[in-house]
Amino acid sequence: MKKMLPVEELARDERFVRSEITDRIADPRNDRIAERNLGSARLEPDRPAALDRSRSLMHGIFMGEIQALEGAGRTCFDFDDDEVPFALKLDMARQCWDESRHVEISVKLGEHMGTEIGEYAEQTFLYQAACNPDAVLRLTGVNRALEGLAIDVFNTMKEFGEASGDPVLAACEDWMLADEVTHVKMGSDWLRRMTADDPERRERALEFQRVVDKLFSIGGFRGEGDESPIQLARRFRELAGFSDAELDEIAEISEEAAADSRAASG
Amino acid sequence: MIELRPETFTLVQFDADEVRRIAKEAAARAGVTDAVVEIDEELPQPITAFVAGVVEGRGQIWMSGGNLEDARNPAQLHVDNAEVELTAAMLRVRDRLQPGFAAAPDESELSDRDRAAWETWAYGRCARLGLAVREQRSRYALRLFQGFTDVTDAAFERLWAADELTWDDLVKIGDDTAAVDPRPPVAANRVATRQASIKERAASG
Repeated sequence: MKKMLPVEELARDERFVRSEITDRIADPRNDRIAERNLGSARLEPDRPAALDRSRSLMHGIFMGEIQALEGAGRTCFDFDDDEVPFALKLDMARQCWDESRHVEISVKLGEHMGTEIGEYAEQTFLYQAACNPDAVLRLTGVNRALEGLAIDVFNTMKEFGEASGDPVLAACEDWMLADEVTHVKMGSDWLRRMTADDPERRERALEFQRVVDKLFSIGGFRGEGDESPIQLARRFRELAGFSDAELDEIAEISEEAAADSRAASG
Repeated sequence: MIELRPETFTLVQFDADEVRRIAKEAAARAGVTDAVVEIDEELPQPITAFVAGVVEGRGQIWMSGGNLEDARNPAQLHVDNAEVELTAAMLRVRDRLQPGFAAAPDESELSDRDRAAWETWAYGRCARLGLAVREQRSRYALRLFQGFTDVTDAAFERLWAADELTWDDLVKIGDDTAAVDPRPPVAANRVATRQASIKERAASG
């Protein structure tokens, strides 16, 4: 089996269509939307287009779970035992178990909301963050940046379920959110252990995380303002081991990403 | 006459002739002979919405480009979705032209609860016309705006299968689901007008 599998070789059947995030950014409609006052972008039941925005986000979660499964799975296989501790691989294998369950739950939630598998385009930047050849950088990309984003997304979706009175959505998201907190904590713990004697590598890893966090905040997608559909879930991130300073930095990165987007659209 | 606006699309890769053809077929299915259809091509998936009013006997449909867009291939037309969405909008125009809907408020004053019921009925009729309607999406939409209760699910079955209803029927269904909706009053009796607000914001933008 091939190590370091490139994103182009991920297994997908004919239901899935990929779109490049660059195409999304270059869409000429973005500038027009930026000029219009469509109100808060927060995902709430009484916001415009809540129905299809929630369905689209749910499909994005489903795709993200597949890619998180693939990312964690690759980490089990891509590195030899002299490169990463066996116990780390075991943690990644346990995470695969969680992610597999999340994929199944997300499929069911998609059905619940009337969404077909593959109804929305797949973007692969989550998996691409999981392709770093340095195991520590990959760990920060996947378990701290990607899984951190998952905390924000699940919390947003859980709150949407609660606000709309959907007991199925709220309960499922709450259960998956609990798993994500453990995944992030795993990443934080292994980052500390594997770089205990190598501060330079730790700094490289944290810098990589900052890059990935900015990518995940692109266009103001994730942040703390009204323009962000995904809200930074500070409380749950604290439980996962993020310090206040780290949370402030992610909020700042998100704000920078939103400002970059505003500047790009003139 | 069925008139399409804009005459050509510049931000999305929709073939205006094809959209015009689909709109005319939708009007024929619904029995509407005179309407203007404005497609707001600035709005992408998943920002979906439509309004279907009548002014001096002529249908006035405004629809987000997102309703016609292929969510897998941005800016491309999704023919099946376009057929469903335009037919549903035309059916709602047709309803407004019936005596039983004389008391229906303007689109800008329609509550989310009542709009959801009306759209469910329209999509149900689309399904019986043989169009590729996503029934579960409609069920979820009705639950979202009328509550996740057994009463709402029963209301869905009635709306989905109904051939003829009046505005009073839709209001009664909304009242019945509101009576058992466990959500706080603000959510349960929401009167915000999502579709209309997108359209008005578009106009003021």
